[in-house]
Amino acid sequence: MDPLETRRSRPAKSNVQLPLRETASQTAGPYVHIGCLPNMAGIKGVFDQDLTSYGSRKSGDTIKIRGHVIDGDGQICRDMMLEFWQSRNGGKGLWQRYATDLETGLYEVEIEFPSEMRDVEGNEISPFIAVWIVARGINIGLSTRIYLSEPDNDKQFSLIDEKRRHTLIAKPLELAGEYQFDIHLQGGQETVFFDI
Amino acid sequence: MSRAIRGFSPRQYDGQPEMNYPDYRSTVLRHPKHRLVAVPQTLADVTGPAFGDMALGELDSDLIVNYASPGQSAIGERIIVHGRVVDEASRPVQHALIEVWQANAGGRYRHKNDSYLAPLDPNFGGCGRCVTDEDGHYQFRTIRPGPYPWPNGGNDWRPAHIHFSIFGSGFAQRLITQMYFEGDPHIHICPIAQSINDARAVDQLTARLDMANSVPMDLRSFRFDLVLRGPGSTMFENKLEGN
Repeated sequence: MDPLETRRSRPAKSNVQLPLRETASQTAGPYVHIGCLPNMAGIKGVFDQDLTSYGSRKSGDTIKIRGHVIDGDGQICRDMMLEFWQSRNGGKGLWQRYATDLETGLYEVEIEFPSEMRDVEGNEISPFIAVWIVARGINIGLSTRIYLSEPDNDKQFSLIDEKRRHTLIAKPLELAGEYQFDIHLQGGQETVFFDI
Repeated sequence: MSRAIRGFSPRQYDGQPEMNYPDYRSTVLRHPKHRLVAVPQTLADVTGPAFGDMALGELDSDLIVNYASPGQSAIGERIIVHGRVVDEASRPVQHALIEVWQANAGGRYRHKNDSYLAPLDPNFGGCGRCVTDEDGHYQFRTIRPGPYPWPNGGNDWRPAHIHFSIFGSGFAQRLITQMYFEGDPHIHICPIAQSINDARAVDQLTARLDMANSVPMDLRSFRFDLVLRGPGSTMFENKLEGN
């Protein structure tokens, strides 16, 4: 047997060891758009269209939520990517993703009014929209939730410091069905982020 | 009737990066200062979008040619990147969508905010995607990206890396990470890689040269396996039945 021959053709050992541990997160970086929204980033012709949604909205039942992501200096972040997931009990859920506008930092999502939600024990809890935020400077994607009104006697909400709960409630705007939800990464208004 | 859905085991943070890591300057104003609030998982965390039957383009997983003019190909070291996606219980994560993006061979991204001196490659876009098979296996072709300098307050250079975005079976498994290359001396002096204070976890982000899967006279292969969060307790949909 030729030892050089075996070395030349040797299969790699895995980069993963036992016991298996979740692969570490790393920042999505400033160029996340290239991989997740290439057409928006100006890379045309690779994918027919950007992957921005899964599932479909029920017609006539939608709301609009818009806002900014704000850093610890009070600056609007223009390089965020946000994903919104709304599960449906017993059915196909609705997922959407948006980048904040590269010039204005605004995001705007058109989404279905949340219906029912259950926790892991099967208890009915207040419905919310799950949000996941990644960008340069965010080493692990941040999870938060949007509620459209203050939940009443809710098992999950009661785990949150009373003074911070308001950061999870979208503010209704003048037009019916339109809401504002700003995400503060730090500061006095810091949004509640979850370890789920 | 109820449908059982598995939750996920709690996330172990000791193999994860620090959210506040001042050597990586951008984290300073972008990390939450409050502790994350632990809440029990819900239907919204254990379910997620399923992209397994998505119709992918023929060249979606071939970054060497998916932006190139007919008959042309991207400049750089031609490579295959492949591996398996499993969960912490070794179960394959099937039909999972993986999106990748990277700089070109000179270390330049095709992005309006990247103004590095290295030129764009007219035949390289830098994005691709694929879906894992029944065994959790995935594969794509690309060129090895170059290292590049970045504004972080000093003379910082990123190790060559490929960004990965993975959708597991539930939204709480969602992961974005970066793959590095075995033997790259920049890994150990990179503030982004070193924001993970765990040598084993950094090593787990490092793809291995895999000669057995190379194509002689054409491409070398690198193996990069990924692990998503493992199963936790079971929950039931449509029925008040806990565990």
